Amino acid sequence: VNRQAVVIAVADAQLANGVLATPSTPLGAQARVARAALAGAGLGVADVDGLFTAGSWGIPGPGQFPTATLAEYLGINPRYADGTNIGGAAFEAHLGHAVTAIEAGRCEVVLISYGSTQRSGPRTLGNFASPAYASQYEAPTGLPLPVGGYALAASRYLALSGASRADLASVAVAARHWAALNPQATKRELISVDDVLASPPVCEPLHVLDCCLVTDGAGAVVVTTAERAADLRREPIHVLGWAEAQSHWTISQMPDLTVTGAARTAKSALDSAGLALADIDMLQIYDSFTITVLLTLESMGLCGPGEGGAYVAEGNTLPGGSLPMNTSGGGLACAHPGMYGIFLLVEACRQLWGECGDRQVNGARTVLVHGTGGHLSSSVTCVLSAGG
Amino acid sequence: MTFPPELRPQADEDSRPYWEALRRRTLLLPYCANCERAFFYPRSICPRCHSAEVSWRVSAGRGVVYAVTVVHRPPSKKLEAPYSVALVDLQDGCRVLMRVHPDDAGQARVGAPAYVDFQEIDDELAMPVLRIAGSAGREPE
Repeated sequence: VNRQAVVIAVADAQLANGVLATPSTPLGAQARVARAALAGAGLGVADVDGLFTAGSWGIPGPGQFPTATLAEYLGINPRYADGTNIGGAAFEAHLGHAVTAIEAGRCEVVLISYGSTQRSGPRTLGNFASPAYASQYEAPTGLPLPVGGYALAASRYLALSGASRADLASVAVAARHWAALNPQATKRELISVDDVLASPPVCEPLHVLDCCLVTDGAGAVVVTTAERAADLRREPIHVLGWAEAQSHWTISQMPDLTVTGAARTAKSALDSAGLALADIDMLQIYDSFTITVLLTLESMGLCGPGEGGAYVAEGNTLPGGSLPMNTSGGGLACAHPGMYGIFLLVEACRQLWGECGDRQVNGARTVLVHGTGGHLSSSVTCVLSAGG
Repeated sequence: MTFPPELRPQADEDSRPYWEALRRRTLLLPYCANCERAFFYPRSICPRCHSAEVSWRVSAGRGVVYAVTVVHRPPSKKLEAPYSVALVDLQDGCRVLMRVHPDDAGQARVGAPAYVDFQEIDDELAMPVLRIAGSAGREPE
């Protein structure tokens, strides 16, 4: 029996101007995308016996127990559940954990799910800064989270590396080039470095256009065994390697604000895949802020310290470039519903299946997906491949 | 300006001596007898060596700015922006996040020598506030 775990379906919710096109609760939106993803693979909701989710909706309240609440809403009784929440990278961790659970025989069909109405519904991210436990020392300073943590990292990065705000801006400019090719993206107009520099400051050195969008969204990823996938409609996508790391939660506890956990996880995930960075055809890199991408590219060793901005500005990651990155437009230009990690996986799989229309990267067979959560706190790398 | 109640620190068993010392204009740091170094934030084990031999030491409050941001969009409507918040690397061997004194915000750059002053918020709460050394020849009161 081939218990190797493979991704066989993905789905996300359609947005209109950053809000759910079909008005929904976070649970309702997840149910819709779950049905759509499972149906696309020839499966139904009743087939799901492993449920993986994280979120910040419904807190305080039923959202504190997201796997139980979602299972009940869907009307399923999973025999395996994982509510790991390490911020926006949670869904890359879920994929890795799902592989482990499936290969250990604990479940057969895993649904990884996320939904948020942070744009159209009640805002719940306020509890991010509740001044209790470790946050009692930081919340009273008035540092807004998560942006303030990333701004502190950007200040250190600019002071030490010789990079400039224009280097940060190059990431936001590149995101719009991809979004312009994606009819589902929220911000499709091209922008210039000067536009980013001139946008209003949020937490210096980060300005509005250095920051991800604030949208609704829902996504689903379905994982099962290679054996089961052989009977289903979709070409399986293999998880060649994955690795996770958590260096801290609160920003004062980050050992070096210019080096993220990607320094460990990218190498470890590539090693377990038996690949090198040079073998990767495409990057899907969590872009909560422009600084997030530069620190990730440099931490994983693709660029030297301070060189990430030039690498992006030279066009390497643009449509037609040597290493396309964030091909949906990413969190900066497509959508960012509070936690973005699941959408990195959705876009990676669609690219591997060749479903991406004008933004399709021809010949991409191996994708590196990297999630970053919290305040540069958690890092998870997954290496995905079509055809195996 | 009233301090936003939703940002008021919730002192607990780990932190109460820290907050009480600040009201006496004293920066008290948790200290590991095994590492012979301070750490931050207060907790029942040393996060470096995991020793439980933890006590308190008074800090001289001297250090260097590690990172700094100017906040334009505060987390509470009760806060008046802009203001600066910095991470300071204290000579004691740990890093702490603090508001920068408004008079020194322009001098708060990465690498700037700095020292800790205190701001009485009200009868119940005092906060550490970072001053930049030599920025105007001032010393703490």
